Amino acid sequence: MTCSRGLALVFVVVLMMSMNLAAQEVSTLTSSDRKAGTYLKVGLAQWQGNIFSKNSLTNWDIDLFGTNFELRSVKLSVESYFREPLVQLSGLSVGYRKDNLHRSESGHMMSLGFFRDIDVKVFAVKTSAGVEWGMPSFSFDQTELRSGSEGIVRYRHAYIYRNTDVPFVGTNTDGVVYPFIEVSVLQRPWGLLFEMGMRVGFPRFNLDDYEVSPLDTVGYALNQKRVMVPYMFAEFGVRIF
Amino acid sequence: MPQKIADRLLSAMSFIVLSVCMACDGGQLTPVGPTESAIGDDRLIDQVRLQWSPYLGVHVTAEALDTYRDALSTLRSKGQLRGVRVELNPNLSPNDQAIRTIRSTGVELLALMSNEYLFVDNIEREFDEVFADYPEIRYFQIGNEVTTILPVDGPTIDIAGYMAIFRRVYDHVQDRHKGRVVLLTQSPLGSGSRGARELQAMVDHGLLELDPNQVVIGINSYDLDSAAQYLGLLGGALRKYRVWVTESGIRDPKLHISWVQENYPRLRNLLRAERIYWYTLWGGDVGSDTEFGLIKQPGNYPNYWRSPLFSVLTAER
Repeated sequence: MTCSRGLALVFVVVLMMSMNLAAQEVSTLTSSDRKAGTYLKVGLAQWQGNIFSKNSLTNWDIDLFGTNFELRSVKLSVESYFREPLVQLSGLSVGYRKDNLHRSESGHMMSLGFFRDIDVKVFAVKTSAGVEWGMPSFSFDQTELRSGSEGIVRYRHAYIYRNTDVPFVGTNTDGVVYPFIEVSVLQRPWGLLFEMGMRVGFPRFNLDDYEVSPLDTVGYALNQKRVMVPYMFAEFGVRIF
Repeated sequence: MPQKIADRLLSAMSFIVLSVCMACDGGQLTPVGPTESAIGDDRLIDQVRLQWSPYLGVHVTAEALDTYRDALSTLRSKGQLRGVRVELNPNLSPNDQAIRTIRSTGVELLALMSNEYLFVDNIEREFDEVFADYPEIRYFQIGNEVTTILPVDGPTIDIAGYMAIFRRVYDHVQDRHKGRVVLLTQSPLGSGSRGARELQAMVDHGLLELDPNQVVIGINSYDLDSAAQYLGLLGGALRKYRVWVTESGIRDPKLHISWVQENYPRLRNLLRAERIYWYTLWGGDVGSDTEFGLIKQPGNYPNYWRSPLFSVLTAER
């Protein structure tokens, strides 16, 4: 089994465990036992994929990680655990993620999410959902030139669909906003926090095929689809409140 | 106590922000100069040629005729040149020696119609003459950096005025030369965020009313920061239009190779650029454009200076 398949399996197992635990109403800590607090977290994230391949992000497959797409990120977030669950929620998180450290003009994403954590003694399982907003990494924009015969030019442009404004950048719609879900396991010993898991974003991608004839007649096939874009992360936090 | 917490929080955040800033490179490119042995490095040659776009800007000047003929023919014979962008102004004769030299090499020409044409009274008649004088030219770009390079002591134009003229030319071409001529829009300034705002203004002034089969969007791009500003527009309103980068490059011959290796693929990925024109074959031996040039000292023909990029593109395999 390849490493990528192993990681995919871990994700599925963790997801199922989380759903199962929630269904069994595993006893969450009582309000008096529950460790409330606000943590400042830093973390690293790793993305891989291949927008164009069959097993790519745009053609979702159990093999989450393809071959030629790689992105590393750093994360900074503030996460607050409520003293008592609020509408079944255990807390909320506000974060910033810098994707691709080699470039500063893109890959700036803010996120807001709510989570529910379930204590399973050794560690807690946490499921989250929310939205990400910002200027996505250039790594999501790719153009693949296809072979053309007799002067025909063909290419496919795949890129994240920009659907919102980001102040001070470009024109009206240079940013993205999309939902995400997240599954992780964590430990909160003393005033520290250790967490690792997977977040899956659901942005829309445009997949545009162009064919230009020698006489400059342009043919199009313009498509859009929502794509699951996963990444693995590990985070360390310190309690600040 | 709250003060203590605030201090800890501030210190932690400062450290993290500082780390991120240090890890980033300010959005600038970090090209590496070629080694002396670049010409003998087959792998490097393959990489550069793979990314290279066989298009080039050429200044129309009679100072470099033999060298132009030699340089263009050499690039063409190696399969590294298909087309050049040349500027035509109202005073240029089709029998001008330089333009004849360039035409004689058999490369495809993209005619940049100089900004002076934007101020002639009967632009339709002027363009009819140009189309007749240059029957082999199919692509005509109407102006370049029209809001930024016109001299302040002469007539100037804004985007609304430019689009009114572009529309006149477009309508005339559709009426009289459809299928014979394809128009390119002016390329906005190739750095900063001004270019994208200008292109947005062109959209606001009717660009989308023009047939994507008859119009190509021109963009100059000398850095990725400026290219990034176009993404929302090109993936949105201008999704159906073709894009040509009509000027790109870097003002340092030592960095030409790495520019092509690193940034040509980025420009294609971001802007879906069908073509990227290198600026320029020869930028003069003095002045701000000199170091963009693939050649220098054309007066020393045949021993004119060739940049490392030129040498890699024309190296024997």
